[in-house]
Amino acid sequence: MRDYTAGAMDEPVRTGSTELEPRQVLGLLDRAGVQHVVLDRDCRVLVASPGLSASRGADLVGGHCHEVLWRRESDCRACLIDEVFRTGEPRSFWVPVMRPGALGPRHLVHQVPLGERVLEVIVDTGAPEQFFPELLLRERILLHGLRRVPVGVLLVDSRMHVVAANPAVLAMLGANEEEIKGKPLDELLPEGAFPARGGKLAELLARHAAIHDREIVLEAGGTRRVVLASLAAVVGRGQALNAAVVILTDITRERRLNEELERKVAELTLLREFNEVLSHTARLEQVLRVVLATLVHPGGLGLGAAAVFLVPEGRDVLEGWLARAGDARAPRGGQRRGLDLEALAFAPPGEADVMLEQRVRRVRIPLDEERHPLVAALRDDVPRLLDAGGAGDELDPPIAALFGPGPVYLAGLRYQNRPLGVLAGVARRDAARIDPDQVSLGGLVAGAAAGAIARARLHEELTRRLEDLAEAHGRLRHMQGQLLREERRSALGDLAAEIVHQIRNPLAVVGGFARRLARTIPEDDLRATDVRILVEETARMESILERIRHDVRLAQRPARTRIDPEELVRAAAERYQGLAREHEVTLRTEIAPDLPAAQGSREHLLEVLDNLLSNAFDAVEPGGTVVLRAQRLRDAVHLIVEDDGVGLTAEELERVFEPSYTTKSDGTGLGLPLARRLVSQCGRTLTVDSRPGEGARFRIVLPVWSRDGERRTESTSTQREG
Amino acid sequence: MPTILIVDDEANLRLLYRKELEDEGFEVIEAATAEEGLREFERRRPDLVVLDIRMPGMNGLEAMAQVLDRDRRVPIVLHTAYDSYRDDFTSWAADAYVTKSADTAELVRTVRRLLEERAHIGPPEL
Repeated sequence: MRDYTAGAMDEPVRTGSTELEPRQVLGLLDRAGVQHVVLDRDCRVLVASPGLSASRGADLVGGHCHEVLWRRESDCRACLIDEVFRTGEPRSFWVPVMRPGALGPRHLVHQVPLGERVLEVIVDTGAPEQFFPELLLRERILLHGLRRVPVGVLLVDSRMHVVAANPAVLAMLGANEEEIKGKPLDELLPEGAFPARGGKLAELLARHAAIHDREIVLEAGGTRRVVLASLAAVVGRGQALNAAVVILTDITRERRLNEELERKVAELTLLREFNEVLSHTARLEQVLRVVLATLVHPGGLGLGAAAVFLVPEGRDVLEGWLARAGDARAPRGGQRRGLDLEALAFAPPGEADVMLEQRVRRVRIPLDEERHPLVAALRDDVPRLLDAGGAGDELDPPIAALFGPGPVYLAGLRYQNRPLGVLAGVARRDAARIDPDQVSLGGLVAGAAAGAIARARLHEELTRRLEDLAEAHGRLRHMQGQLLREERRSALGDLAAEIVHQIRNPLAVVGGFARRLARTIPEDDLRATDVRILVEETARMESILERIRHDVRLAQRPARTRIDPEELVRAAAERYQGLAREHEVTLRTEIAPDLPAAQGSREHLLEVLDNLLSNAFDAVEPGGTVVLRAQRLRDAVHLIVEDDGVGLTAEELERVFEPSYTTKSDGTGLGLPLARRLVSQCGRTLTVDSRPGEGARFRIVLPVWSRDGERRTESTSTQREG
Repeated sequence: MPTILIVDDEANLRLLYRKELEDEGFEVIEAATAEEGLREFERRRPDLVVLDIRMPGMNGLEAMAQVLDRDRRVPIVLHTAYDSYRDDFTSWAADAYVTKSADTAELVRTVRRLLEERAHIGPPEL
């Protein structure tokens, strides 16, 4: 053991009502493992702690202070030791180490005047961030605790009974010195303040010299303090423990500030993430789900439940929109960092969520019901708290019906002074109230949410307009195509009509004179047959021309009107009843009940049915059957002409709709192609199904009539069902 | 014997109608254009006019209007290969509209019917 009494270190160090010998102080520092030197006025080292000498590799005593930390001589002057002597006040300064060494990169040096000497305590702080709070706090306690008021100092004897206490300790314990003198330490400090008690603690101290920074809570006079307690043994000669110093540092304020700071950081982190998620969220429902998740998640505001009510654009009513219940089991203020708001927002709803949302979605409040708390909140500038915690409190019945009894927080959602809706937050069941920080954070969330809602609405409006535009564009293109086709058809029609006319005149001349000849030639004249052929063939040509003209005119008519399929079928069949009797063919109509109106042209379809029936009658033998059927299949009306006649061969079936293809001697070949075109003008198809000897079935498929036939089914106007 | 003016730009058709109507006992005057037809109408005052519609120069509908300016009671038959003129309201002023055909029976029937109807009404205004 070194003799720390070397040199003039005689002046006692006063702590409260107790004085410590200087050598006791140095022993204390040694025990605590704190490096130190004692310097005289010339910066000569009188005493150096063993650790310091060991790290330097030489005994420092008698050397100059700059050798201690490889300080430069100029730095030594900067240490202003005279200043310490002059003011008698302790001071601290940093010493940067120029060469890396055993003492580390940075040191904090505390200088404390001790009479004609200066005690220099050197704290190895390592990197600056390791400095706080442990190191500084500990060294501060050791140094300044000896004289400064906020630090409590208790001196105990070897049995751990109180010998002395300074005023700070008395304030912390709420007692006067007489009351605590002689009391065992563990009666004054909370249980567990120091791990071993009584005599055992003394043994522990004898081995370890000091116990640092036990965090304890002291409650006295209605004040709750968080205190760091350190205990250092004062060792006398021969290593016997003769006393111990307990140093108590009140860190309540720091702790509170620290907690406050942490909370603020967490809030800011949350808000930053919240804003970040909102900034790339465009759909209204997504925005709302993110907002609700932020309100109810324990890592967010940790409310018991939350709901959002919105005023739909252009309407004077507040409607319940979405809701979410919190997880009642999760502790509040959980992990905030890395909180995945998006994943939370779209987590599948639980049973509580669904029930709450059902209740919320039923809410419809006209805006003129100004006394309704939700409507009132819409106009509020500050969030409103409805506290129904106590028995005497009256909670608005509609709010209680929605959320149950308990404190409720309502924040208006406003954007550019426009009321958009209301956010409602409900306290957790296990919380008596909504905390002020929940209210303030809720206000920030509501502000950000309002902006995002306004943006989402704008986005939806734009999307809707874009879709309208695309639809209009599509319709326009469709109509253009139709116009173009119709123009072409019309031009072809005009040409055909012109040809008919041009041929008709010379044909009338040829046919007319042929008839005159026929009238003048006696029947027994051999030329009579020749002339008759002339007459017949010109007549046939005229009927062909008439047919073409008729078809062309028909094809130029508009084809999409409302038609009654039943009436159409009956009218078509009516025209063939006489022929049916004549040909001994059964003509039957089968019309499904409750047929909807179809879309087409009555004139066209009559023409087509006429054509199909005519073909059918040509195909059936006497005794055969022709059936005209009308039925509904899904979104179409089917008109079917079925016969049990000769049927069509595979080749006929393939070519039957080709222009100019005919199996009939007097056919123009225009019949079925025209029929198909007329049906397609009505909007759908004409198909045939047949086998030789098994009859044929022609099928006209027509769209069911709708007023707005071109448009798709109306799109849903809001995202609410989505 | 009633006189019938046939106005048609096709000579062979005119010849056919002339022969057919003459066979029926009518007197037939021919004109190849509307202008010529109007001159013949002034000169001969026929009992009935058969007018083609499509002709070079003045068409049949204009000619009809001018004929009716001169005599509001003379029966007029529009005789054409185009039945589309049926939809032209100008043609409604005509007493009949007959589509040209090798079969002249309808024309002859129409002419006969109109002359009979006119006979009941009385002589033309002058």
